[in-house]
Amino acid sequence: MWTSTPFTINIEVLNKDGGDISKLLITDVFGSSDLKDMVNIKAAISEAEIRDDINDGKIAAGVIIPAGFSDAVYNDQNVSIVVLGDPAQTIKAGVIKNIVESFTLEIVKRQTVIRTFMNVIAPDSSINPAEIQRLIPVWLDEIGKQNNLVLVSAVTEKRYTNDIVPMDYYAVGMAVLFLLFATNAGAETIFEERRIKTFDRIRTFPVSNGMILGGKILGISLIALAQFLIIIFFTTLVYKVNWGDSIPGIIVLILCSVAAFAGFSTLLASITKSENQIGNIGPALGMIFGFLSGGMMPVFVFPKWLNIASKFTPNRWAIDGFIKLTNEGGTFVSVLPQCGMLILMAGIFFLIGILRLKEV
Amino acid sequence: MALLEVKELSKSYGSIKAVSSVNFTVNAGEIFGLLGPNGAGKTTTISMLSCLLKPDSGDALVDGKSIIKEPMEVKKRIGVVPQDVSLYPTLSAQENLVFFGEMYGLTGARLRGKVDEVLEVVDLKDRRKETINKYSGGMKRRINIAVGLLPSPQLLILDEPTVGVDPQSRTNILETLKELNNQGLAILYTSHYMEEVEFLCHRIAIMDLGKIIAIGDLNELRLLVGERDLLRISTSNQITPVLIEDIKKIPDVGETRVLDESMEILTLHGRKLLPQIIEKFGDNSVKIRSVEVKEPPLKVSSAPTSTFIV
Repeated sequence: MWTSTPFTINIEVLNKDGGDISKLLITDVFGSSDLKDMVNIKAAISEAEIRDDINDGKIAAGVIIPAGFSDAVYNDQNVSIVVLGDPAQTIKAGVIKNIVESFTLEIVKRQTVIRTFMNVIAPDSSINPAEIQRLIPVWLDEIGKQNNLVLVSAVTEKRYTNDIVPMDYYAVGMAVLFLLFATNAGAETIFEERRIKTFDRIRTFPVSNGMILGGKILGISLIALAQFLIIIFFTTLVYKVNWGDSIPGIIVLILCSVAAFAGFSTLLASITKSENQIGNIGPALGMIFGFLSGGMMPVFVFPKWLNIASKFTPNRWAIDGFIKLTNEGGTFVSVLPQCGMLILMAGIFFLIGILRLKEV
Repeated sequence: MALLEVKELSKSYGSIKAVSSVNFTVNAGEIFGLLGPNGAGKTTTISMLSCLLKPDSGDALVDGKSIIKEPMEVKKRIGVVPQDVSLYPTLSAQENLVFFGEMYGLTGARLRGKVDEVLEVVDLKDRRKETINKYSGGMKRRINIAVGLLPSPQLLILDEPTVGVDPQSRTNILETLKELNNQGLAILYTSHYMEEVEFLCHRIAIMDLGKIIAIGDLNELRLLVGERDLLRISTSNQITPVLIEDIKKIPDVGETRVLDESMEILTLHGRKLLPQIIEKFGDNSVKIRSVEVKEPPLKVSSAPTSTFIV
């Protein structure tokens, strides 16, 4: 249990800036003799790569330096370095966060001193250089006590809080699970219609089989959609759950999730033989999917193989998408990959399900 | 021109031939009965005509539209009343009719008018708001028929609509159908009750084992069956196996049945054969007490007596 393995922190840095100050952070701070044995730095090519590697547990944190960072500092503009941390490696991520914050604090302090010197003291030449040398550390110390000056680190602190609020996560997980239950309950009605023979009766009407099935799926989808919206409304109102700022993102993700779950339920209806069967199998599968997909607990606590397995469930993609929207400030565009996967799954499920239903 | 023309319609389930080269026509304004015991192939035939099942071969035309090539056009021209009560049990009669009416494309005032009209026809207007699961079996059957009337069909297809219905409800249903026919509606009616088709139908086809074994109006069928005579010969002494064999050797003698001291013989032209048959009794020293010549019953059921049918 005890180990002598040195404490190392794997991080990735996405340096979109390339200016002096960002280089200073990477080479003189992370590459300093104090830190170079502790911090393993790898250059990232995109934010997505950093997020994926954090999700996979490969790195403890990712540092994203925006384009024009150095110029912004020189020009006294507000700017932020984003630190993404792995909630499963809070200590290591916290160390990186503190290093970046210290660095940005130092920059702001020095900026302030230089600005003061250039604007106030230098024109007067009322203080001799020896006195200035003595005063600079005193000023730096004084400035360091004033938190409201530290614009860069304040922003960094805000961005770091990527730790998911438990209620937010739970609300997303449960809402997605309810979506699956709602569509399963809808699929049960296909069997009910067969049992009470109304399905056969409708087939004698001048409507195509596609229209009948399409109408059924649309009905199931609308009920599921309504349930999801109720959950959003309720959790927002009562538990103050943050569902994000992107209403288009939420709507599109709900629709894609409903499509995937309706497809799954159609497939389930095609491989089961009665209302009872689907009534028993549906909730059981729902619970398994719930656990597997991170609906009950975050996927970052899963071993790697389980993490991979969870990607075969529509729940996982739906939850990932909603977490992006609720906790990572995601937009409509940022959830398109999740939407794409959900639509792909919907297509596969519907295709197999409808072909099987046609056979019976 | 026939409203429904069924041509060489066949359907098999695996090795079982459920319907085999069935042909018949139903004319406009006619009630046509499809009579046969359970398993005769009536429901399979109806399912194909309702476009629920695709035939293996053959075709049927409804108002000139093929059930294979133009099923949507066929469905617009027919109303189907399935054998089972196919209604939503937790909805009221009116809600069921509105739902199914909308599925037929009816909306607004036209839908409301049609729902009122069919409720009037089946005489359940006063109980329209009650849920179906509170209805009696007969009332459910009547609403089942009402749904079939919603599209104002040219041809109403009914698959044993009186199964499990009390006699009074059955009479109501049959009277209703007769009245609808009087208003010009053509009806294809399947049943295994002879008295129903006798009461309702202008023409009847008798089906058994997937085939139509007789077709015609009631008189024609009686005549067809009537060409066969059932001879019942009572005797004073025991009928011997030798006598039975001798009787069977006579040409045109069909089934025979021995009941204690009497014998039933189904023959073609029984009256003409009677002298020959009596002679055989004398040859075997079996004394005849009485002879009855009867027309065999036109009866269709799953019981062995169906063997009397031509």
